[in-house]
Amino acid sequence: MKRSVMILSLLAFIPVGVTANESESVARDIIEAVNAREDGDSVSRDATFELTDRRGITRVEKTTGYRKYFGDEKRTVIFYTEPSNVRGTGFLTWDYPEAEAEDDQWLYLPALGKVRRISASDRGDYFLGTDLTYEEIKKENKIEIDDYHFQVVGEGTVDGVAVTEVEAVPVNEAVARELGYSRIVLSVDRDISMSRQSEYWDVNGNHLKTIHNAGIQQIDGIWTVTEVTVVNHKTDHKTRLVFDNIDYQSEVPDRTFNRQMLERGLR
Amino acid sequence: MNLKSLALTVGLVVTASADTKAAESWGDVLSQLEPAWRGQYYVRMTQGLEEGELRLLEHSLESELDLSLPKGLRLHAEGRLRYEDRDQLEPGPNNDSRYRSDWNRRVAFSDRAEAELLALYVDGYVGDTYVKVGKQQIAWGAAIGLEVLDVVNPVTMREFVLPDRDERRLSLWAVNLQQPLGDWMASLIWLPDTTYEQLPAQDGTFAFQPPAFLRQPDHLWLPADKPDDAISDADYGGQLTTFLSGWDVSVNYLYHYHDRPILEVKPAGLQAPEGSQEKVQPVYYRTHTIGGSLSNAFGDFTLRAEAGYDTQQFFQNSHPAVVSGWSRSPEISTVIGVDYSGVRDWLISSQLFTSYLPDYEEGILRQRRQDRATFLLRGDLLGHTLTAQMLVIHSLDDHDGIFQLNWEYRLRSHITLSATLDLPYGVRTGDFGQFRKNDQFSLGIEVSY
Repeated sequence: MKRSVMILSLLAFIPVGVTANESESVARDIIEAVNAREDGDSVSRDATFELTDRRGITRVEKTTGYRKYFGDEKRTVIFYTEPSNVRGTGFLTWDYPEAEAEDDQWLYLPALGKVRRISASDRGDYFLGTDLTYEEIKKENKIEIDDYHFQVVGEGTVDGVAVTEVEAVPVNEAVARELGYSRIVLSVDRDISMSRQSEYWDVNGNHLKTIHNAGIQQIDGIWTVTEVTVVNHKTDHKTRLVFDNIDYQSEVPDRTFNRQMLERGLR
Repeated sequence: MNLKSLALTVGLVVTASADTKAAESWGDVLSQLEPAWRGQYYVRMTQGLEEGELRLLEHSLESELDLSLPKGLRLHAEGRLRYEDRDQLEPGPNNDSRYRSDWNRRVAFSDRAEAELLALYVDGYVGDTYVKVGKQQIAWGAAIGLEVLDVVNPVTMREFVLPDRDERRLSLWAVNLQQPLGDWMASLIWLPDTTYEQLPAQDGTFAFQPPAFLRQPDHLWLPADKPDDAISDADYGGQLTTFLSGWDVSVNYLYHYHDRPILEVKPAGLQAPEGSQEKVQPVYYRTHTIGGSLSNAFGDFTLRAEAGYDTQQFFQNSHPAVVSGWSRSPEISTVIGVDYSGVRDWLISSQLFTSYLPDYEEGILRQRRQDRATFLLRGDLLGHTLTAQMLVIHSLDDHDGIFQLNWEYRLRSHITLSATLDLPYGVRTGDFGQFRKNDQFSLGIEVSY
């Protein structure tokens, strides 16, 4: 009975005259367009993380980050700039295009004085106390298409803008456990191929969190999210991430992404 | 208006105008320097657990300043003001003059209050070459907290090895050049700063036991034969690093004075009058350290390895035929470490350190091979606001070591609370066991700005 109701509910979102296969095909096209969205050969930006716990206590951390493509390989470096007791802490990630290739990742702690090789974090691990996973930080509003089956489940509006709601369900239980989700619904603005809001359910089917992208604007001709708010419904923890000084134009030297730069502190 | 008044008026206007221009240009200069100022205030209280005494009450203010200089250069300065109320770690005036070069000493306001320059350097690029000149720390190798290749900077033993190694490292005046060579990075370092490992005075809480052959009080101590010529006694070396098939690789070489002197005994001699004292003199010796390091990650595991070969080291020898009390041997040191991060928010890390003497002589007061192990368990909990850590350093030969527990809680963005328990254990004659009665518990508050 329950199952029938669920299937009927899902079918109700599919536009009349559209078969399930067509819905999957349309959804996949939407996600491919999201993944194909221009994000620049390189970017530099500052980020402010506001982390608020259930008691309402907010901690603020600031970073400076760079990202650059080396062919299909994506390299990212993030340095903490505030508070001063963590200033200089740096993460360097080399993200390889081959799905089976693990990222290479290094951590520099000023207190240690050495760059330390670290295991590539599990994709579903939360990034340094935020409500975003390493996968979400890394993918930057894109989504690994081979991890999910997609389906269009409806139309709606977010911040007054028309969106198409695309459901993403992990292809198998192992992927679901790795990512920490059993289901995602992405509200995609098809005009700019960007999700404006996404809802997440954990592996037990409980509503887990909501990610809201705001301050969406074109910077150097590239559609960019400048403010991300994440609310974790299970923990009442909230993350607000604000990007400043976003620059897609200035040349980012290759040396920014080597181990020595972590020690030098962005020199 | 007469001529004199006119001249005065013009003069005032010109002066004012010049002042305004000067102020503007100084303002411009200052804004171009983009000064960035930050720091931390830290209060720590340490209770000795054996005697129950308040061992340390320390206030420390550390500040950093960054200035952007012309041509992409940066000036970085770091300093610390410290007031330590109990004066038990370094009782009385500090002993910097015994261990530090003239240009690397603390400014003592009293036995309890001091200022120290922790870093002062200019860095930037000349073409592809990265240049860093000034007072700085240089940390080599892949091991954490163990000395194999991490011997460029000396350390202070003010609190033995209880603080992290980075807190114990003494910055040195140095030139550090880094030049990319294809897929490799070559570093050359030159360290004219003749500062060496700083041991606490004999009445300090963590004073080292003197060697057995020096425990009789009838020795005459001679001034240390401490190298202090910035040119002829400078240390120098180089490092090559690369990323090779997933491995971080380094090859290292350092020509340096061993940071801890040997205490050479000079017998009174056969012709000496009866009752003449044996003379003891701390002497520093040079050594070549050659080695390398490797690290790589495999799934949830990270493997780290490091090896070093010292061409000469000196070891205490109790054999009657060894008049100086010391024997010389090269030393091979290795560290193998494995980190496991397969449990979310936890790190489990273990290292095995081995030291081996190829030219072992009868009477040397240590085994030919010595092993030490470290075990670290660290959790980043409560959304990374609480870090809990357990560290054990254990000698597999003497069965002594240190057990440490540490908690850090980030109460607010800029306020961190900490609690640390240090428990040295083992036999009295062991490197760690000698401090087995120095168990201590510390509480700290850090406010950053």
